[in-house]
Amino acid sequence: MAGSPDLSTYMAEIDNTDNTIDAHEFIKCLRPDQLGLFEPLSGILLLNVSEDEFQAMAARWSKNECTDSDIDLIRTINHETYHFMQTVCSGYMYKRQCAAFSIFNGDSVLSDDAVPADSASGQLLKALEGLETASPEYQRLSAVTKLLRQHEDLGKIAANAAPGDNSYFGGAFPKFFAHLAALELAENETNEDGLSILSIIEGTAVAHAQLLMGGTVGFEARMEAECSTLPPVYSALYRVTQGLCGDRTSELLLPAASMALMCERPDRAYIPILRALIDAPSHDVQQDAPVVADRLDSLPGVGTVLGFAVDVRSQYPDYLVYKPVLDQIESNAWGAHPFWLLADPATMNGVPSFPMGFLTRDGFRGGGGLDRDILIARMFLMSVVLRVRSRRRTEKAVREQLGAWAQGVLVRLTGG
Amino acid sequence: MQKFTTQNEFLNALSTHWQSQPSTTAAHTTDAAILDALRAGVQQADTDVRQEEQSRDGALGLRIGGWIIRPEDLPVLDAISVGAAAAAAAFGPGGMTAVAVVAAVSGFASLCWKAWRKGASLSPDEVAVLGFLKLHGPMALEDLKKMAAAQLDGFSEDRVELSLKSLRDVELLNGDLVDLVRIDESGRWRARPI
Repeated sequence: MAGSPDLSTYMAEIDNTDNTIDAHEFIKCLRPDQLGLFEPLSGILLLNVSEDEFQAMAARWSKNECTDSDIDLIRTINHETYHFMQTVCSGYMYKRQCAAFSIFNGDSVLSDDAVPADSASGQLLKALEGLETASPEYQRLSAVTKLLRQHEDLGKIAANAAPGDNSYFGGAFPKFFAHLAALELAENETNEDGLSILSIIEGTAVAHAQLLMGGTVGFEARMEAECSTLPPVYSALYRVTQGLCGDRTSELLLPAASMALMCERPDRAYIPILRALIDAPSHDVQQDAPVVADRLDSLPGVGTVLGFAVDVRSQYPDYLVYKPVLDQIESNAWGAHPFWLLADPATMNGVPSFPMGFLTRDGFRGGGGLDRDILIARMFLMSVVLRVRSRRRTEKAVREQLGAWAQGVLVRLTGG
Repeated sequence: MQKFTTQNEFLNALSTHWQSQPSTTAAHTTDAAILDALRAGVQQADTDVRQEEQSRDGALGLRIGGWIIRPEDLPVLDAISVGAAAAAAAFGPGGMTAVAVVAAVSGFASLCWKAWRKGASLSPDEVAVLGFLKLHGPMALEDLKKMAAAQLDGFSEDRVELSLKSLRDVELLNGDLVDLVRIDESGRWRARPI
């Protein structure tokens, strides 16, 4: 099917069996109105369909028998894949992940080596010091110590959780989630032009998917139709752009937004860049974009220019999730400059594969030959960010185990 | 997956689904008052749930602005309809007043749909027992087991008790654990709003 992704890049089977980890536990259940999601810190795409539904869609796609629902699903894959591309190409999106990772890396209320001596588990740890490790008493006390540590950790997590946050990870990484909450506020702030940072990130993904799948002919009618079904954050960019450049919208929206995402404040940079492209002499974006990009610093209101992801990465050497991808982009293995990878949907067809995790509601696979262990590690990271694990569930389990232990002690003491 | 632009279109599709079930199935509902009550209950739940915003946690998701019915919603909708139809049949002449039945059906539909949309994974058994409790009001455990086993198609007392147990440990999308049923001060079981 023209204009749709090569689904085989998402189809690579992965060995899902593991004796110690059930990676299905890391999969986030999405709200029913969410079609899909890209979690950029871990680089994982999650589709809100079952594995069976996905496989059935893929079978119809391969026979060129797609239904309207299939087209929606493929459009969602293209939308989320574009967020992956934004992350590995644009300076703003890559720096966004690096900054979040830096905070994540140094933030946990749980620490292996910080057991207060006066805590119950601290006292038990002291008692363990005098015992033979092979003795039954050591084994028993060791298990109880572990249980008490869990109980104490849960207390810390609950104390650090934001009001109403019942997740395990929300309270375990409070600074990280406070950072994400602040980021969400900042990215949702709408300026006098009616644009927010999020509206640029999302609006470009909507336009990209439409251009990739349907080209420029009939673009505006298709965008109008899709925008009528989406919340305003997805349609604002199109509406503002359409108001400013009319029938050049399909030509200029992605290049202007791709350039804006080279800047620290894409929301403020977008309109000046768009105006510069409209006013550029040749009226051919292939020629005009490099000229405008060269004088980005001088455009009014654009602010700090970050460049591309490959420019930003040297400042954040600890964040390695996208290292192989950035190496490929830097060496031109994807056949296009990062700007055009974002600005021209046709360049996506030259990308050999998209190395990201790809999840359905009940299945997972590594796209682009992603190694299984790396995929599972990234799924775990995703599960932290999306707060998959319930603190309430863990508290209940630990309470029940402690109750069973106490019951066992009583039985032993009373000889019952 | 079916998509709708307005809440009214979404509710109309639900009514059509409930009416279009084969008349031999328990999910078939034609009683206009019961249909209206089911519809009002789902509408209330839908309005409440849509007002609750969820944090994005930095993720970039594609959400639609309209209303949807997913294939996995259908068994839950059917179970709600079954529960409502059973109630209507149980409260015949001399039982609860029609107004009270309609109010109870609406409250039951609202409770189930809200729990489902918030991520509670409810089985048809759980929906049936929850509906029975919601519609009949607070009951002692033994009475509940006996009555539900007698009136709910194919239910044993053990099956009722098992559903009650799981209704006290329901995990939502936001990680919260909720009880959809509780024991009140008089020792009777009752449905609990979330």
